[in-house]
Amino acid sequence: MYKLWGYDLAFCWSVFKVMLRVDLQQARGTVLSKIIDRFVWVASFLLISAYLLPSFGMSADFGKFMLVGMIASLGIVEAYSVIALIISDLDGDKVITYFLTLPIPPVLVFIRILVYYGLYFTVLSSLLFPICNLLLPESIAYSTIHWPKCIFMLLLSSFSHAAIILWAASFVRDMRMLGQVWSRLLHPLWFLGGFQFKWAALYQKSPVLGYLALCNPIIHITEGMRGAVFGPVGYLPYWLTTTTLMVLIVCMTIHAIIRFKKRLDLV
Amino acid sequence: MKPLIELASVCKVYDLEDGKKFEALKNITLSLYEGETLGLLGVNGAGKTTLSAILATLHPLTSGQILFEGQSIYEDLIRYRTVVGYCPQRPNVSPYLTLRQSLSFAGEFYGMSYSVIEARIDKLIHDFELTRYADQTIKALSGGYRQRFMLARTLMHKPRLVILDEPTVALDAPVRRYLWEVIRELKRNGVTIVLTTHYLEEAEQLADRVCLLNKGGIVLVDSPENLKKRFSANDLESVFITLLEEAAHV
Repeated sequence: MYKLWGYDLAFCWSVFKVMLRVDLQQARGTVLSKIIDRFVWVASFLLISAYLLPSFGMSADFGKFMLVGMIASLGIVEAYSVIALIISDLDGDKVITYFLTLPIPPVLVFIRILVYYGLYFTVLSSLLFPICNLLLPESIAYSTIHWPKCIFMLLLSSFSHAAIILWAASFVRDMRMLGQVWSRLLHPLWFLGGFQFKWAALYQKSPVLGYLALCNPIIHITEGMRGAVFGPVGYLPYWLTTTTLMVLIVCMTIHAIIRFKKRLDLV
Repeated sequence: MKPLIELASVCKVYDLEDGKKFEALKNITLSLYEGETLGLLGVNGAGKTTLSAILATLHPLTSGQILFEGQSIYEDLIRYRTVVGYCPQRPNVSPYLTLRQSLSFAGEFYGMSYSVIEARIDKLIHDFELTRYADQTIKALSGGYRQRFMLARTLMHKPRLVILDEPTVALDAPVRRYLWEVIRELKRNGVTIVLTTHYLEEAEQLADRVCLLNKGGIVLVDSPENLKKRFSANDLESVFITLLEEAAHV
């Protein structure tokens, strides 16, 4: 029996798996609806970026460039509704309190949120690749993709979004603050996160802004994903984006758990 | 007789938003014996729910100690939590799972095998007359049936200590009587129960001893019979009112 800080690891792991299965069971009814949501999202985006913007003189490749950025930033678009779910539970039924009295360390209840949404966003983002090619043939050339890098970045980006959600939710006291989360945090992160531009272009324009943008996890996600899909030239080094994201995931999760422990007054 | 649970000088202080402190529990010292039903009584804000939540390890203590069979509950939190069943005031049940699914997961959380889980679910669904709703979510249930389900989920892993936080609040008389019978049955099976209630008749009917809390402190702990004798009263309500009046004058 392996123990860590007095906890039986095998038992904790078995409870943790059951918690994830609860989440999966709850999500079953919404999977198709979520896929349709994303289909509509990508289709409306492609209509503008790939068919309309080129007629105004934009490069035809700009649509593909933005498309990959959008796939990478899917989690941030979902973040608002997920934070709303977390806060409405804390404000309302408090289903989380049931999990917090189960025979596991309370920390695992929050890590489960990270893992569940990390996996959930990975699946949703992966589905966008075939959807994009279905709507715009050859929009993503599979042959040029560095698959191991792409899959790893997909996982990292999804877990980064999950960590941002957990971290942001820890600051939201009630439902009235949700609007602020979108306008003051999620939207700036996303819009300044390079889904429409390269980090190198921003750096060229203003080195100060370029360095400041490196504090935004979304820029690491979009740059890392484009590097894996289009090739590394012209994008931030892959090792830098992955290392930064891993550090951010750990730091944001720890900070969020500390805040939730204090807020919910947990053992 | 050795106590199952011992609370020694338990204090709980909350930091309020305006920077002030609020003492929700003051120096609570109390023992709870195996198979006993302890009624926690008090007006709103007396500290009943705080004490229940602390016993369920949802919230930590500020100071003091809680021992389970002589060992601090925080020394082996997992072991303690496996023997506790906590039924909070408000149903904290997922609205997306059917009752059967919720019970099944509740069994899995405590490491029960699938065959045991199936048998236990069948028994609980039958005992709590939930057959009609077994494959529906909690949203389909009335208040009384929700409370029945909450009790069923609390008992899924056969806990030795059951903490019931106002299990019959806002329920009509027949449902309340039904749940009393369930609690009596638990008692007959040797389960230790902490019962928080506003209904003095309920405490009188079910509790071996009652603990009256006022402003976070214990006013007294005794059996309903002894209290009635001591205060020459016909029912617990008269005792309760007298004690609260005395406490207000102190």
